Amino acid sequence: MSKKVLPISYPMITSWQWHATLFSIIGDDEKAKNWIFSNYIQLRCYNIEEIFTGDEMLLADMMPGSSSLKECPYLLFSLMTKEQVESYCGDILTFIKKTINLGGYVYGVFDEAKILCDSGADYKFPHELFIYGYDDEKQEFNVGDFTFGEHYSYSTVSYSDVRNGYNTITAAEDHIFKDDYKGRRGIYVIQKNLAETYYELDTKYIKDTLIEYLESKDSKNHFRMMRNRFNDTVFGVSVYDAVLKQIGKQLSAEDPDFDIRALHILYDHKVLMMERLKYMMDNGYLEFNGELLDAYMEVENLMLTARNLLIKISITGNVDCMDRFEKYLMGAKEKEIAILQQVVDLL
Amino acid sequence: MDKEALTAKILEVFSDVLPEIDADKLDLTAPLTTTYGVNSVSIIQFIVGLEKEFNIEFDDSELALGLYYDMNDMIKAVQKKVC
Repeated sequence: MSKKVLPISYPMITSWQWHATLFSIIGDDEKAKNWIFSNYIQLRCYNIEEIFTGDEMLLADMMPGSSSLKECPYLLFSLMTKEQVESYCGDILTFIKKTINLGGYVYGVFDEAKILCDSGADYKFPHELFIYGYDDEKQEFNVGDFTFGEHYSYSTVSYSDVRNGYNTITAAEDHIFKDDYKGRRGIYVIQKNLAETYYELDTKYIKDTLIEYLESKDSKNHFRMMRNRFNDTVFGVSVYDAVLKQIGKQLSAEDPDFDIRALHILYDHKVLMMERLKYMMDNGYLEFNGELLDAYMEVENLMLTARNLLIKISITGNVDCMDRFEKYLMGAKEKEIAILQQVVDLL
Repeated sequence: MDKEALTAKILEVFSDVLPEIDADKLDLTAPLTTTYGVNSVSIIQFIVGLEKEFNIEFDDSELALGLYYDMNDMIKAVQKKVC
């Protein structure tokens, strides 16, 4: 009987499973912060069809998004097809345990309906699961996910649920594979790659991206060498307006059902920007400026208040407060533009 | 309303929001997030319940989870509004 749990720390930002996973693995590492704080500056959004409901949703995210797990220089990424997993180890449970023994974290799409409630569920809930440990005695894996609480949390899932959750998903339902590797099903193996400094804090890139963010410039052209199929339609501070428009659309429905996810990403963006500014000041990339930090804290607080008020409106159904929501959201936008313009001038 | 009665009512509302927690055994000084799994949504559900129960109103800036480390912080916040 054996047991192994790889190190993790509760992530600074969550919002989407790929961010929560990356930040759980390397978010606290001093070398990795050079890459983290050089990125996640630009915002983008576009409308997609929700995987589970088929409803239209506004997908807002930072750049990089889910590709960060493949592209972050402080992670060693391997992609394993289902066929490879079966050929190397026979079954998924052995593969996951062997991977963890070698210091690898596992990330892939599992049917969480099987894990969540009843193994006889007549529906599927394909969702990314992050696995970072196992315990043979208890017959369970240590996992990180949004599904098992109302927020991102670490918990355990039995071996049998993980096996069922993995075997049930078809290639067509494996949404992290099907966009780029259609017809295949598999998982990601992620290891830390922290022995050396592979990426320095890039002040030029930070400045350039801040300008693109403030001017709502289309940033996707930077990635054309690697990929050129993009959905993104709105970039930078214009994402605030797109989110407000989307919430206005939801408000006009007979029984408004607000999607808070875009607000979570906007708030996490402010949390990370605040940490970036502090880090740059602490490490001599920017001169210490307490007033600037205080002013940005106001932006973060306005965004937090906007998000919380929308959650409250969702609970109470009292849409009379929507004007206040708009005031907080657009107040955050206006203040943020002024402060980040100042940062650009200082860099 | 004395503090004991007020606390009992607040815990009753808390039980409605998180029924899996035994409010009778709740430690008023234990962190709400790590001990009882309160998150950014359930804290607002709790506040909405308190607003109804006590006919009070929390400011929009008072909806933040970070303001309430433990149940005592919430008791103090309600106390200020009912007095």
